[in-house]
Amino acid sequence: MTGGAPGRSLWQDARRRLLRNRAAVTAMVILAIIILLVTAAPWLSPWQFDQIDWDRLSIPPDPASRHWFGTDAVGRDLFVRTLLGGRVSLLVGVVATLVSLAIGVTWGAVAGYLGGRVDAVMMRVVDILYAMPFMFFVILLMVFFGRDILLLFVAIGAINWLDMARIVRGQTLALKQREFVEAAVASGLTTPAIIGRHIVPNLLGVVAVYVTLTIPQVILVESFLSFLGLGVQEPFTSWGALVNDGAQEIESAPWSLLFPASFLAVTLFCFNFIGDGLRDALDPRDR
Amino acid sequence: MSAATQPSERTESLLQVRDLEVHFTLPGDGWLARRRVVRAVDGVCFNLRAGRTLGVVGESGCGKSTLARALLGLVPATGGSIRLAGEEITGRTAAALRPLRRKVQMVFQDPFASLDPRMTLGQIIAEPLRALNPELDAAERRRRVRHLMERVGLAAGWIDRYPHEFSGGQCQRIGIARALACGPELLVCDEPVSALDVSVQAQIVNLLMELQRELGLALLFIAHDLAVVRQVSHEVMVMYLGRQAELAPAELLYRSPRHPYTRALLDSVPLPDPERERARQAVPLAGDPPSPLSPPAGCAFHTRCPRAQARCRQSRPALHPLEEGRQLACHFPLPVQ
Repeated sequence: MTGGAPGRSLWQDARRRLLRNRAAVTAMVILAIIILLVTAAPWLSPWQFDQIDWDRLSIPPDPASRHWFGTDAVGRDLFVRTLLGGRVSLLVGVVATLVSLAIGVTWGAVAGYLGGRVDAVMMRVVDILYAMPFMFFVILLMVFFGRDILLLFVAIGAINWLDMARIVRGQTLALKQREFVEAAVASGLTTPAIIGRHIVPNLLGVVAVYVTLTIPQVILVESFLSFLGLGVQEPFTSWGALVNDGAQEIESAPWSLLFPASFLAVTLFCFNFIGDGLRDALDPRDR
Repeated sequence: MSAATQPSERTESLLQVRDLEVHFTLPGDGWLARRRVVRAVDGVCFNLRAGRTLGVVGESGCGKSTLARALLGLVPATGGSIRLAGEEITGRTAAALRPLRRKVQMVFQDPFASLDPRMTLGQIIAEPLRALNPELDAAERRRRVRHLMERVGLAAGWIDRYPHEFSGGQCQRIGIARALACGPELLVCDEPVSALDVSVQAQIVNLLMELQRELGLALLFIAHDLAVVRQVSHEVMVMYLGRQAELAPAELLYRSPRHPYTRALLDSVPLPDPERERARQAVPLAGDPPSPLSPPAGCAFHTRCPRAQARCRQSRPALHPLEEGRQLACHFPLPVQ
């Protein structure tokens, strides 16, 4: 075999560029630490997330009793609750984004590739859903079906796919004009095969960027819902719910706002930096 | 020298195109506005036998590429017939067209845009095999791909590389390998060398001619470089605004063009010898072709034709056979030289 080295794919190129972006790499490291902490939460503290320490209600951070972040008004350990809330928030962010990714990419790629009337009808559906007041929709769902965390995933994902579908459709329209799609038709590929083998893989760059920017958006939406009292239910919690609790005691116990809010903010920053880094790494105009 | 469209030969022709029309309907302004129709290809007739090359020339927007895409079934024909090895292509659904795809493949104009940047060479070239020869297993596909790569002058060791690592000429070789993968009988080349450097153009043209000799391929070779077309073609068709102006054996057409448009095209090629260039009485082609949305009445070329007369403005000249296999659509053809 002569010159048999496998080539560098566009993904490998992009990864190299991403790894040269200091902000993105720092953000990835911090995010990795947060995910690690959140996963390992039960082993890092002697306290349970719903365990009440009757002797220490609403105390500031106190290493002696191993309440690293202090306790809330009913004496539950804030360190454990912050990490546990992080689990919920990150999970909502990732799962709801995956839901929107699956629906949005399929919908947008099919509408864009088929074009014509199919496209018109599919995109009008998107327009109609766009016109629905989102919060109203989620609140109605929560009221009718109860506050189920699965429902929360579905509700947020079902709203977020609209943007994804529009972005993907636009990209597909541009891709469809490229000659390699014609070449695929001439090669005898069926329409689903062309969408699956050529359109979607070429969309992934844009989609990856959008996903990293959607996750923090979803986390914020969940926080907002929790803040309104529509998110996760006690004794479970999320960063949004913790911020809500903390905000009510901001004068007497500022730490109960400070810690969850910092985690939330740092995570959001991380996702945004990674998204920016990915966009720069994948943007063909910089090549 | 070939004798082209004699009736007795029609039965042996690999490709027979009769009165082919490809019309596009553009959406009008608003609901009730009259829909406008672009006649991208309007009444094209020719035959092509195995092992022969038909060159197609004309200015940008004359319908050359649309003709190519209609032959592949990439755009639907709105009229006329295309018979490939005796089977009608027009009016088929995508699924019904698939069995015929093995017989006709296309080489595209832009060597980079015609290759999926996310796929390796091996995946790109194997694609027609995957779709059209599903009976082959992965190992056999890979073996064939290596063979094809060597055949078109690429190192087989590059099989796992990506298109962006290669030059335009090499990418065009990849495109040719893909087109050959399922063993076609007709190769439609849509300006295969227009995007390449001159030195690379010659290599690709030679490769195509070599492959033709070896595999007995029929080629439909579209270009706007008249010298390249002359080199590769047995016959040449000249198109103007979707219509066929003239079709003749290559040598005859270049020696003695009879359509004023053919003459004008040939005259617009600069001669390499400055003495002869100054001496010749060229009639340069003035202005741009009219919009295909509203082609002139009568002969489409009359607005730019030095020989145009009243009749040219009123009636459209029919395509009629002339000497030595020539077909011409002109009321006042140039004399034979």
